Amino acid sequence: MEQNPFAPPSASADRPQGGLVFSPEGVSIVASLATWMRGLSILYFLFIGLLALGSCATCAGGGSLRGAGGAGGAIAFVFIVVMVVIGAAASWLRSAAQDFERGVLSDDEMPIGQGFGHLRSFLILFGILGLLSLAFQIYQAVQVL
Amino acid sequence: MDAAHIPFTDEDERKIASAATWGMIVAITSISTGAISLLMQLSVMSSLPSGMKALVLVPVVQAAVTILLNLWLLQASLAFRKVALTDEADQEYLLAGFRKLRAYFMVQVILILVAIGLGLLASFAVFS
Repeated sequence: MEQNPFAPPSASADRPQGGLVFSPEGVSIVASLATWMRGLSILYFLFIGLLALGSCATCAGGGSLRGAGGAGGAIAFVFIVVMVVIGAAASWLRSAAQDFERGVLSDDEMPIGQGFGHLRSFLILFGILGLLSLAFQIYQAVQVL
Repeated sequence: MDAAHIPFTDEDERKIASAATWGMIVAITSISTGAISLLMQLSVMSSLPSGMKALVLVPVVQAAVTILLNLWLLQASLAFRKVALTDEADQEYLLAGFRKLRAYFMVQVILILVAIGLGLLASFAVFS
């Protein structure tokens, strides 16, 4: 059959024969992984919403705490920092899920590599939090024992 | 091209190796924190009267779940490390890592939903 010279270029046209091909089982694993990662990011966003409500309530009640050195404002600032950290984690998780799914559905390794970049950012954040938490736990254990 | 080998760029392989390293850091620190927390709670609970000894189960279950979750993350990280550092069966290791990572995120979501449900039930019980 003659090839249509006016056909739009396709992404698979210049891909090597016998390239990256995921099995249906692999596709279903990654689709399911992406769903759970997105689910967790939605829970993080819901938590951010609750924190935003909490910080608004703290700011509203801050007037009564002004005499105590503006504690309401300081608490609201801490809430905002936590919201930014969780927001970053949620968006990295969401981007990683999208990239993994895109890569596996299109049998393309580039989006998978990008997904690992986002997953790495997410894990670096939780790694730093984990190290701080471990240091605090060891400090507490030394105090107790 | 062999289907077992995935032609990631050098930069992507560095990203995968780095993600695997940080995944191992998260898993090991979480398991260590869980173990220390369990030991501290058990030492506090050892002074409880014998009728309340069943409370020991709470931190034990909590620690078991933490260890299980982070073992999955550790296994996923080790599989991703093999993807980055070897060229023998990239696709197999990648899917093995994704399978463990799915279990890690799935159980986290389920635990958070259960905690929210229990919180709502407790608040209904308090206010009704």
